[in-house]
Amino acid sequence: MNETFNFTSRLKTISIVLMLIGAASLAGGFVVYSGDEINRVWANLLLDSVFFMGIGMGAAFFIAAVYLAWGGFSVVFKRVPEAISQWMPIAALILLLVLIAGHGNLYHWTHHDAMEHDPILKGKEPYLNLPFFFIRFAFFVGALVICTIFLRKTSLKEDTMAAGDTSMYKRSLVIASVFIPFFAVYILVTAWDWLMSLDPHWYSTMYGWYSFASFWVTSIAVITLFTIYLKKQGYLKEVNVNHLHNLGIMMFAFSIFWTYVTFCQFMLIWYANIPEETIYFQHRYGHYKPLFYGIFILNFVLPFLLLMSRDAKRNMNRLILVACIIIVGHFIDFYLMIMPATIGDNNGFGFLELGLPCLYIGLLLYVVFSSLAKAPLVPKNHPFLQESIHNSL
Amino acid sequence: MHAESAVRAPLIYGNKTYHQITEDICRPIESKPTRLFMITITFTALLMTWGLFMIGWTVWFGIGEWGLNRTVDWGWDITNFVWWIGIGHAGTLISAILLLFRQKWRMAINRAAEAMTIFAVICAGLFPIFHMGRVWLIFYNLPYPNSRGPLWPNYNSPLMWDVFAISTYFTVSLLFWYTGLIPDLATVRDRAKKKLSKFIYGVLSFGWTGSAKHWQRHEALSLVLAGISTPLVLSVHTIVSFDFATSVIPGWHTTIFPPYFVAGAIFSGFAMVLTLMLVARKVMNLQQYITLEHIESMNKIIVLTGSIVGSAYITELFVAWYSGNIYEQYAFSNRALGPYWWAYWGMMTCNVISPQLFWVRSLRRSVWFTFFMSIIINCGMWFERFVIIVTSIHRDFLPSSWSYYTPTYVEISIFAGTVGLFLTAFMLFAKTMPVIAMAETKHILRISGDAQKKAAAAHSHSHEDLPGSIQVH
Repeated sequence: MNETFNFTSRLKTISIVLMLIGAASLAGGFVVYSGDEINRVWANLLLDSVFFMGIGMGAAFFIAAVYLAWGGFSVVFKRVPEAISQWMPIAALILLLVLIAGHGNLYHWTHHDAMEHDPILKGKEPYLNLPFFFIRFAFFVGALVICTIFLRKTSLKEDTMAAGDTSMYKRSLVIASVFIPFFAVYILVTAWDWLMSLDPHWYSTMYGWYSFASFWVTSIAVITLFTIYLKKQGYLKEVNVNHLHNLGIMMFAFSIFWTYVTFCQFMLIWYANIPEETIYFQHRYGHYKPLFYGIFILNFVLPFLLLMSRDAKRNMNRLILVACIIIVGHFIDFYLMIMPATIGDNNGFGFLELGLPCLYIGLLLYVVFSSLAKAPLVPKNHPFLQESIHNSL
Repeated sequence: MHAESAVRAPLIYGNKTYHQITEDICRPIESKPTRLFMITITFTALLMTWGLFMIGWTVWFGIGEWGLNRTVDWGWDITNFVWWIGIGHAGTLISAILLLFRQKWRMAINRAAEAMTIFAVICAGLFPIFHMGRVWLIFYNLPYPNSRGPLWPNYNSPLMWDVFAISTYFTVSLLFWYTGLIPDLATVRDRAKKKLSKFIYGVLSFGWTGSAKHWQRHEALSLVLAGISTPLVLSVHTIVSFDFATSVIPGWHTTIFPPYFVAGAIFSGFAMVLTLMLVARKVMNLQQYITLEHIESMNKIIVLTGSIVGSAYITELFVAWYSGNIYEQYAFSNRALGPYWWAYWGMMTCNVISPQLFWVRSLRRSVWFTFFMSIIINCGMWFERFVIIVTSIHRDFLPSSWSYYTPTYVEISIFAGTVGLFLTAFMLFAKTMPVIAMAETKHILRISGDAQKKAAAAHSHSHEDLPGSIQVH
């Protein structure tokens, strides 16, 4: 019960090497792409920042939601989402830097003359303007970062309390109940700001929940991968096949949820056939057609079939496979949200698209592993600890 | 081995034994109906009869008896239809989705909620059927090789999808509810003293003997039905929302409709469960089974789904402005400030603002306040459908055809009649069948009973390694 994770020098080397590869491809991108092509670098930076931010934010949401729902199953591996959530403040900082430096290349509406000659965009100016854009960022992301830090602090403090003391548990409940309302607005506002406003004329009310569904299931897949990694390394002895089964159910269920919102959004726009709305899918259909259909296979068909049976959800290798498919599939999903709007048909999969994520993966690994090493891997004194240990399905 | 944390409150109070559970739940069935029951059911049955008479009136004289006009061709009829369908969501949600989430508190309310689902879907179905006008042509909806030449239902129409979605949902909900009832009906049969009731419950319980084989098949079937119902719960209101969202009408065509309708349906379904169960637990003396814990959990679901609905309202409002589409913008300003402003603000107050009071723990645990709120939410969700339907269409693209709609007494009577039908059916159910799933409640007694929890807590204190938890071997 008192195991602690050892952040070995081998792991440190791996994450630093990944960071270096990523940094090199970023630098390479700025050298290779010039003129109008530079947008490709910014679009990739936005893609990776938003995607990896979502992973951290999803992990924080996981903790808060489980607290409020009085969930007991996840306590034994709670430190995993906790550690991933510690990555979120850093991801937020990176995203902020990308937005500050790259907004002119990414967002059409930031150009004053574009706004002046376009009555529709002019009408959106009270919302789509840079000061308000960054105020929203600071307000919602800031509030959630603070809640996440406090959730972690409270969780660590709980370990030092006397057995049976639930004061820290109660405090976590309060923090979680502050987190959730902010998060509910965060998923809407940031989806409009960071992603939907890339196509500044286009609008869809589902968009916030759609992008939430995407990053949330990715986050569950990442939690699953880290949990299984630790388990395979001999840590987390209390985590058994039932806990993995739960994570498998969540990946399965939220893959269906993603499909549901994605399909509904697409179908309603297709059915009504209003040009102002169909234009979004027009841009994602011609040149991007293989990817457009591909995400339905990666994010729905494969997880659905591969995780259908009970045995599959209790098999570590199967979970690893599906988690990887989900992560790749939803990366492409975000790719499809961003690329057609920013670089149109000049996209591609080159060293930049493959290399740049390494920077984020390296940073993510470094932050998560060092957070894991800072505290016992299994929380003590959590009132649902025994429930979680004896969790059965 | 199974463990339950000491922070979770017991779900069954009063030191119950298995036998006492049977006694408590069978008592209302076995005792004579009270005066209060007879008076109430007479009243609701009269209301139902009046509604049925008015349905007959509509069929005889035609839809012209309703207040619909050329511009507002969907009024109270479709509003009531969607309202009832929404109420019919809680039952299957509690049985199927809360089962997947392993929420033990569902055991006390799932049976009644499922019954409610079935009655609500029956009430809902009446509206589109009689809105057709020439109801004797209803079979035109069914896809079968017919003598009308190449005349088939239009599969591209969401209204057609609705026929399939709702009839499937009704069938599966009925099967699910009845499957769960079988062991409990057998218990009632075994206890029955009169020959006639022994015979009736004997037929209803399909010869259940409680053998291991019966249980095995019963559990397998329940699991399959739970698996089928889970997507069904989501699909029904999704498809109801398609009725509106596939159109090009501002205020109807919006992509958020499917999940937002589902959330709203769960919201109103739980409100109706609370309305009924708060009365039932008092009248039938079930406070030890439907505890404050249960009420609080349901209130949490209400605040969650109410907030989801609220965030969808705000999204719609914001995106209408953001779109830059003047028709979209007008539809929403007309909702809030036009002639039907009262419905919009009624909806906002009842559905978005007032459920937020449930963030306060003492209000979540107050029976009176919860009852009051459940009525408020039922009204609010009715307003929501009225706002979506009537205010979106009463001012269409041609200002010369703008109109105002008020229901006639016929429509109001039909609605009142469905309320009567719903309450009558529910009271008959509560009087003749176990309102709480006896067999399932017995499953959780060993872990969630108050005496058992106390004993286990005392036991675990002697084991240093297991702080604050209850274990059952």
